[in-house]
Amino acid sequence: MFKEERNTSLFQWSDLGDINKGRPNLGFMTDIRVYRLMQYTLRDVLIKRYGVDETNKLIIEAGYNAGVHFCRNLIDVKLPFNEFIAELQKSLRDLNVGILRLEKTDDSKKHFFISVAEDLDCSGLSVSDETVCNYDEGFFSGIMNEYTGKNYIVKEIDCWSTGDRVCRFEFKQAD
Amino acid sequence: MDERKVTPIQLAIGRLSDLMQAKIPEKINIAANTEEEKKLVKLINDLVDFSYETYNFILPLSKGDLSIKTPSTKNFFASPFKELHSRLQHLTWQAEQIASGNYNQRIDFMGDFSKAFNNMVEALDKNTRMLKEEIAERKKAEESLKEYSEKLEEANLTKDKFFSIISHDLRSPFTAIIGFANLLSQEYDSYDDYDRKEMISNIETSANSAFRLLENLLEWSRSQINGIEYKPENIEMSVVVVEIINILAQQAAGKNIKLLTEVKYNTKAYADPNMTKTILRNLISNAIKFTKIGGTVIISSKEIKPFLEISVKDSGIGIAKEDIEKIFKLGSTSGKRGTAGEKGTGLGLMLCKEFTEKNGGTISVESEHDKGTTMKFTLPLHKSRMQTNL
Repeated sequence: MFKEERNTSLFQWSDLGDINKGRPNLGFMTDIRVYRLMQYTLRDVLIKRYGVDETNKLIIEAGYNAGVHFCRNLIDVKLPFNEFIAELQKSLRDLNVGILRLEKTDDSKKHFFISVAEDLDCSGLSVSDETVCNYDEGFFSGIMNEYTGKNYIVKEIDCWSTGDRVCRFEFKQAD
Repeated sequence: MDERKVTPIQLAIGRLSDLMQAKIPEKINIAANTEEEKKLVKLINDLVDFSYETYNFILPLSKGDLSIKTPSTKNFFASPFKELHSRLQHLTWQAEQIASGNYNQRIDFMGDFSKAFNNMVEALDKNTRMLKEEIAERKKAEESLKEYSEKLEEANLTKDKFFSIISHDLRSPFTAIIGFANLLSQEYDSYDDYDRKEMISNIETSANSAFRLLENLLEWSRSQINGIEYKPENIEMSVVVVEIINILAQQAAGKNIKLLTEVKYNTKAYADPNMTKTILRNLISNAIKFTKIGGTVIISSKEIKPFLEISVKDSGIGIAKEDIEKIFKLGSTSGKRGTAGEKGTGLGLMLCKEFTEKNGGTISVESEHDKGTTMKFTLPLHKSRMQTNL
């Protein structure tokens, strides 16, 4: 089931298991350091095995899958754009992922910017020359794809790890 | 000062001093001799760049211009202002959402401002809800007023028709009665027995017609002023039907119409007996009126729980499709004469509808032109909660 060979994604929401049943005492939450420990050690071994570019691609692809399933299972995709963003914002806040803010958007919603403060992946990291929220890039891309049925390219342009206080992402609908 | 005569270190100190005194610094444009000097010049020039970039970002931002391009990600000085810029842009979006009626938006920065802003949104939400409720209430009141006005208009129309019936339909039989009575009184001897008998028969018919009309008018006017008391009880329908058939037997015999009842003994209903008799009397009388000589009128019943359905079926001329919907309205059929020229007002059917509904039942009609009509009305079989509340 989890270790099957595969050419296409076999992930499904039920793979996350019954948390209520499995963790009656500890519940849904964990320490953010544990999440980062997993992400950055995984990134570490992936880079070692496949190199930086390939690792970024893999992390973006995993984020994309997560975004699709997250949107499909937790967000109402029938909502109009502004209400959809408000619900996404609430979900990310409730799940302690980050504080999402829509900065500006064009009327067609094909090009817009959002920022995420207190981001799960990077807030508090030491400053370097690199944006590190590749997983978020894929995650938001997957969410927008699931919501609109169209491909979105999401690029992080500011990141805590490059010296900014919030992460900023540029969303562009692919032609 | 001639900058060519000073060292990069002196210039660097000068640029930092300018910055500290809030002067706009310039880049250092002299050649550095050592690696340290080159590094220092680069750092100072980067600092000058960041200062300009930050200043040019903050200045329009302080004036509320959010369309300004954000500084590069490496500009450490600008990063808090970029966050402020981001928050202000989001605040703009939130304000737009609030303007479009989404009052779930709340902000969480700038201390007292966020408190005031959120209070404003809550007040807006509350006021909008109150306003919506007020509008809904007003709309409801307007609808009630409209409904009342329509009822008043209908009542007024009914009153007009009522007077029209009194002045026209009641006058006609009396004209005939007075006319024939005058002839008999003044010229009795000039007529033979056959003519006299004919005139007396006409007087009788007209008097009966006027009496029936008066009876209906009286009952209707009493019902209009709530003068008729609704007193339901268990009634034996077969007995009531026979009683009405006996009353109307003479009218039927005049046209050689058979009045048959199929209502079996022990057919019960829970209704006001007087109202039930009025309904039956009118329906059977109408059936006789619109059935040709030698025809048949059958009264039957069946249980459709929790009601008893009583049918009055005739083999008469039927009702035109376009008239079916309006037969229960006053005056709508007043021009329609029976097969023997009998006059009608439509008052009887209106009474039937009112009395049936008062007993908690319904009345309906099935008719086919030239083939006959079946009038059906329902009455409760037993006492129900609905009737208790009536």
